Amino acid sequence: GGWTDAIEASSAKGFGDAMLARRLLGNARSLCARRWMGSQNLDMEPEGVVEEAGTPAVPLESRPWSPDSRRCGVVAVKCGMMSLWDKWGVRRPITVLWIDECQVTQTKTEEKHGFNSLQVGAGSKKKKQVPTALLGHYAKHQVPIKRKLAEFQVTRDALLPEGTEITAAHFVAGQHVDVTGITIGKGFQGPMKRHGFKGLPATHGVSKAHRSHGSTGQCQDPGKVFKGKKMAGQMGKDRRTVQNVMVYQVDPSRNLLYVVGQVPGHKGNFVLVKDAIRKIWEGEHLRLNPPFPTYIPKLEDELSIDVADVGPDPYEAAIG
Amino acid sequence: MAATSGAEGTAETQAIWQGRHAPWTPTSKLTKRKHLTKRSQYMMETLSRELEQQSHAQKFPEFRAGDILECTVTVPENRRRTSVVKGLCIAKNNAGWNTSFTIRNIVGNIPIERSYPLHSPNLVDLKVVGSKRVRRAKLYYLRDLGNKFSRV
Repeated sequence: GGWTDAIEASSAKGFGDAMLARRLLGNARSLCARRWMGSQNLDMEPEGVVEEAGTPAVPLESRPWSPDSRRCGVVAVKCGMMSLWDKWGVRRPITVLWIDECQVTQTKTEEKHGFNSLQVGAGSKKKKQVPTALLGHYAKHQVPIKRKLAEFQVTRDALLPEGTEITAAHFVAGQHVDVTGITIGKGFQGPMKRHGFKGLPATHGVSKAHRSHGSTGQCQDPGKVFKGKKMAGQMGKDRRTVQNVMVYQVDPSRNLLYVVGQVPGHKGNFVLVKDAIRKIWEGEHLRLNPPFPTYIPKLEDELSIDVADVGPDPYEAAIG
Repeated sequence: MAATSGAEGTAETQAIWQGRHAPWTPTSKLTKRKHLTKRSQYMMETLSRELEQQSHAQKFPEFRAGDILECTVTVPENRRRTSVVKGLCIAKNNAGWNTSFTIRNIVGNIPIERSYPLHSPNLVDLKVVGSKRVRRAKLYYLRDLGNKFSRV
């Protein structure tokens, strides 16, 4: 047929098959297009951690931190909360974050894209569940199909080659992170819950307005309600970041992060975890020295649980 | 309290998931994939059970509301001195790793209730020294009765 000849001709010119598929077949709705797509092995495993695919060569090697460096983040799953007692017997509320095979799916560089960033993906999906355009994206960068993609802007020295896996060992127990997630949706809520308004008195003649917002402005001047006026509306299910969350424990063999406190979102939802920007300004990364640009596994490494140093006995300090 | 590391875990830990996959197995290696919400629940339950298995509280006897307990506790605020606390268990909240109980006693004519997490490192020892016949799981009604019913 005509379009199969076009594929062979383009292959001879050096086009990637997946890119061609995207160009010729669009959303691949026709039966012959879907059959051809099915015959392509688009969810292949990358051959090695260090291989790049078609982008400027980025080596995978350890480097020292510089004061301006920004590392990549990680996509993790919020599993739930529990509590742990530290070595002094202080009980800490812990959120468990699980990193499900987080890999770099695309390296964006200043030369080609105008900025330096790393797109990472976590989780896994079946080929039939993924639109063809995304299948082509994964095939082009030679990474397996991921469930969730996110992008982290990094500095030039923190770039990683495509296919690099970022594990829990990327973080060090005792450091702080910023965790971003979609908060729990509360639906359409009134101003008392949504903005903390005080409402109106319960008695003294108030008619059917106990939880309303009351006045919405002034009189003839300005004669309008300002944009952004706090009113009832959708609450929750929006993206929020909790800053300066301490990583209490890192379990590298299971890819688990135990962080202190709460993070946005439901159990089972994806969250983005990156180094706390305010702590970088304080120089925490230079003091604790997390692996830069990421943890590069070596055969002789023994992965053990890393527990944070929680400082001196707080009870001794209290007694004096 | 650090849990045992290892993607496979010890034999004791593996008994928790009984031939199924470990909860932290990457999704790409699973043949049947449940929703992440369910898998998170599985993860938390496994972690909780693993911590319970390794806890020093495993050697404590079984007890319930109505039993008279003698607990040896260390008080961090008082230079970690051990003291013995005796009382009637009026509530036991079974929640795996977060299991807790409340004991009630009359100390110098004043009713005192104390709650302890079962797996707290400050709870050194627990002994059952007697029991009362009760027909409830929680004995909060003792708060409305006189002191003589709570005295042990």
